[in-house]
Amino acid sequence: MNPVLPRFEGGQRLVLGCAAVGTLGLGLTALGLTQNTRETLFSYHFAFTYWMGLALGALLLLATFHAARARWPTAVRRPLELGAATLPLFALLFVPVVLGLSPLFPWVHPPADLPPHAREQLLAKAPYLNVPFFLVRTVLYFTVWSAVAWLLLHWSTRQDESGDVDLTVRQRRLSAGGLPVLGLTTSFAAVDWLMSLEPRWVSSVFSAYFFIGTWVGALALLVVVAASARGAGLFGALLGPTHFRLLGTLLFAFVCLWAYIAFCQYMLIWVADLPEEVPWVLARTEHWRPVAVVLVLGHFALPFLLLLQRRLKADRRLLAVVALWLLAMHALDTWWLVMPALHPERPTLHWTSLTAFVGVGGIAAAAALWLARGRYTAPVGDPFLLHSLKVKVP
Amino acid sequence: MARPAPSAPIPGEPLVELPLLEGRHTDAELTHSLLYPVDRRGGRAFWALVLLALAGVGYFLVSVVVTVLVGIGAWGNNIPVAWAFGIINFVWWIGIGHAGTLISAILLLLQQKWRSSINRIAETMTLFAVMMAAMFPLLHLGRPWFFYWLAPYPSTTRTWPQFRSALTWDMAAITTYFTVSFLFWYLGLLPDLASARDAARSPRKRWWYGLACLGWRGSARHWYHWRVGYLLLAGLATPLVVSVHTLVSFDFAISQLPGWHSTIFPPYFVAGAIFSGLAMVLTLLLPARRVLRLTHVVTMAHVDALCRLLLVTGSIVAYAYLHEHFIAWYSASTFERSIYHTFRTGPFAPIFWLTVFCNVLVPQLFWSRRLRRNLVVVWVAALLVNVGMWSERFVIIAVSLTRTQLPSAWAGYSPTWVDWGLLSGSISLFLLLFLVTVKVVPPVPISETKELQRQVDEAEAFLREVEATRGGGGAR
Repeated sequence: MNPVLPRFEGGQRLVLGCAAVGTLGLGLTALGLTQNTRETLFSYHFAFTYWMGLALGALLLLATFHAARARWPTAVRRPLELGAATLPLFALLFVPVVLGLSPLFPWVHPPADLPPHAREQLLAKAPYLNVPFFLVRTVLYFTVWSAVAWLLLHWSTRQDESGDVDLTVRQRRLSAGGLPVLGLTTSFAAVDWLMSLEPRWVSSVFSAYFFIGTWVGALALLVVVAASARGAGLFGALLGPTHFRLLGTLLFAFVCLWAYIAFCQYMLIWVADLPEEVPWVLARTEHWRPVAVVLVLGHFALPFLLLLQRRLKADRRLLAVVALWLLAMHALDTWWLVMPALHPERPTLHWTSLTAFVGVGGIAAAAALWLARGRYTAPVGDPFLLHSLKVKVP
Repeated sequence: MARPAPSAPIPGEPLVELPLLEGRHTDAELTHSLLYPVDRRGGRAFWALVLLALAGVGYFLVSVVVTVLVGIGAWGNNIPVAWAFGIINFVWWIGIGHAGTLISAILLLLQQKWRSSINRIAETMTLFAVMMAAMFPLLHLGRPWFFYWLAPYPSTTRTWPQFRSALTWDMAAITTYFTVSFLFWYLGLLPDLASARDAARSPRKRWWYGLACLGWRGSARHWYHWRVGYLLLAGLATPLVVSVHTLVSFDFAISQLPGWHSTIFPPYFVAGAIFSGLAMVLTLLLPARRVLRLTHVVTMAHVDALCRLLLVTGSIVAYAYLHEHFIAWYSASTFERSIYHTFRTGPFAPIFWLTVFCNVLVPQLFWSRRLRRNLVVVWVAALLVNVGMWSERFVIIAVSLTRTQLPSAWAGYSPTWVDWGLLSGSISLFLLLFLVTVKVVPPVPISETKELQRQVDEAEAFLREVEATRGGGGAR
C-alpha cells in the first residue's frame, strides 16, 4: 500500500446509479425525438456542449498546470486527468449531432426563403462549412484531445507505481507542446459547433469566450469534487484550507476573465451595430433579456463578491456551494449560447433540455467514476506531491 | 535555522536546474552589493550612453518644436490616414509599460518568486514608457496646451469632453495607470530608500534619501502596513493593466473600419502589450545585470523564465493573427477579406511579413532550452520582438486606414523626418531617464531579495526534510 493514500475501490453503486440515470435521461430524450425532432436535437446539442466542455476544460487546465510547472495543484490533479480522459466517450456522444446535422446547422441545406445576398455569403463560406470537411475536422479534434488526455493519464498513473521523475518531464513536454494544438482545435471546434449554428454571424473572440467558460466550469467541478471526496482512499482528505483558497482564487480569476471577454464581445458588437453581427446579440440580450441579466448577476457579480472573501475560499463547504452555483450558471450560459439559434424571439425551455442534460451528464459521470476505480485518486508517485501538500501562502 | 517549507524552487529539487540566487548571501552582503550601482560614480561607458541619449533628445526637441509651430502637417499624416506614427508610437510605448505591471503585480498575486529580483527594473521601465506614450496623443492634439480640455471639469466655457469617444476613455485610463504605477513603484521603493539612507556616506545624500523614504524605520508596524498596502495596490493594478490596453484596443475596435473592428482586439492587444513589454525588459535587463554587477540576483533562471513568458505571450499573439485572418475570410465580407488580403499582399506587405517573422517565428526559438540560455540570442530576439510589435501596430493602424470602404478615398502613406524624430527621440529620452534612474534608486529591490534568500533557506530545509523521510521510509 502506498503510504500517502490507498487505492480507490468504492464507488460501484455510484457508477451504476449515474449510468442508470444517464440511460434513462437519454432514453427519454430519444422519445422527444419522435415528438419534436429539431427541438430535441438542439436540446441534445446544448447538453453535449456543456458536458464535453467540462471535459475539454479539464484537459486545458491540466495541460496549463503542467506547462506552467505548477506544484501546488499536484494533489488535486487526478480528477482533471480522469475528467479529460472521458473525451473519447464524447466522440461517441457526438454521433446524434452528426445524424442531426441538417436540422441543427442551416448551412447544410440553406433554407429556401434566404435572401440572395445571404445565400451568396453562405456560398462564399462553403469551402469551410461543408459536411465532409466538418466531419474530418471533428474526427481530428477528438483524436487530438483523446490522445493528449489518455497519454497524460497513462503517464501519471504509471508514475503512481514507479515514481519516475522522467514521467513528469514527459507530461510537461506533451502539455507545453500540445497547448498550441489544443488551443487551435478548441477554438475551431467552437466555430464549427457553436458559431456556425448561425452561419452568417461572426465574432473573432467567440472561441475564447467558449473555452474560458469551459475553464470556469471545469475548475468549479474540480472544487466540488475536491470538497466532497473525503471518504476512504479519496484525495479530498489530504487537502487543507490553503488548497481551497488557491482553487477559489483561481476560480475568481477565471470568473473575471469570463466577464471581461463577455463584456468586450457584447460592447464591441453593440457599438458597431453591423448587420452581420448584431442579430446574434439582439436575440440574446433583448429577446432573451431575463437570461442575460441572470448571467451578468449570477455568472459574474455574485461570485465576484463572494470569491473576494478569503474566509469563504478557505472553507471547503462554502466554496463548494459557490462552485455548484457557478456550474449551474455555466449551464445557463451554454443554454443561452445554443438555444437562441432555434428560438431567437423569446426564451423557450423544452423538457428535452433537462432530460438530455441529465442523460449526457449521467453517462459522463459514470465513465469518469469508472475510470477512477482501482486507481489512486491523487498522483501519489509525483515528485511534487509533498510540495503540494505542504503548500504555504504568505 | 529556517522553518522547512516549499517556498521557492531550488536546484536539488527534481527538475529544477537554475538557482534564483547564486550563492548564499547575508543581509549585509546583499545591501552592499545591491547598492553598488547607486554608490558608484558612472564610468566612461555610462557617460557615453548618456551623451548619445542626449543627442537623440535634441533631435526629439527639434521635432516637437516643429510639430507645435507647424502643426500636424509636419507629419506624414493625410486623409484618410489621419492616425499614423503618433498613435502607433503611443500604442507601442503604452504596451511596453504593461510588462512592468505584469511582473510587479500579477506575478506577485501568482506568488512567482522570481519576480523579486527584476520587478524594480520592470516597474521603472513602465513609468517611463507610460510617460513616452502620453506625449503622443498630446502632440497629436495640434494644440497641446489645451490638453486639459480632455479632462471633464466644470469650466465657464462649458466645453465638455465627448464621453462616447474612446480618446476620452484613454485620458482617464492613462492618468489612472500612471498614478497607480507610480504609487506602486514608490511604495516598493520605501524600504530600499531607507537602506540607501543608512548606507549613505555623505550627510547630504543621507538627508535626501531620508526625505525620500518618508521616515521609514523598519518597525514591525511599518512592515505590516507596507505589506498590506503593496498587496492591495497589486490587486488594483491587475485589472487596471488589463483595462488600459483594452481601452487602447477600443480606440480601433469600436469603429466600423475593416481591419479595426474585431471583437478579439481587447485580449489580443493586452497579450501583445505584455509580449512587447517583456521584450523590452529583456533588452534592458541583459546589459544592466552585467554592467551593474547583478548576476548573483538576476540569474539565468530569470532570463529563462522571461523567455518562456515571451514564448507564451508570443503564442497568444500568433493565435490572434491566425484567428483574425481566418475570421476575416470566414465572415465572407468583401471589405474584411480585402483588407486582410491587402495586409498580406499590398504595398505594405513587407512590413506585415516582418511582423510575422519577428512576433511569430522568432519567439519559437525559445522552445529550445539551449537558446533560452544563450544571452546573445535572447537579446537579439528581444530586439526583434520590439521591432515586430512596432510594425504590427503600423500594419493595424496605418495600413487599415489607407484602404477604407470607399476606393475613391484610398491613399498611400509615408512618414516625414519629424515622425522619425519623434520615434527615435522618444527612445532616446526613455533611455536617458532609465540611465539616470538606475544611478539614483537601487535597481533591484533589496528588501525583497533578502526575503527571497529566506524563502530559499526554507526550501532547502524542506528539501533536507523530504530526503530524510524518503531515506527513512524505505525506497519507493
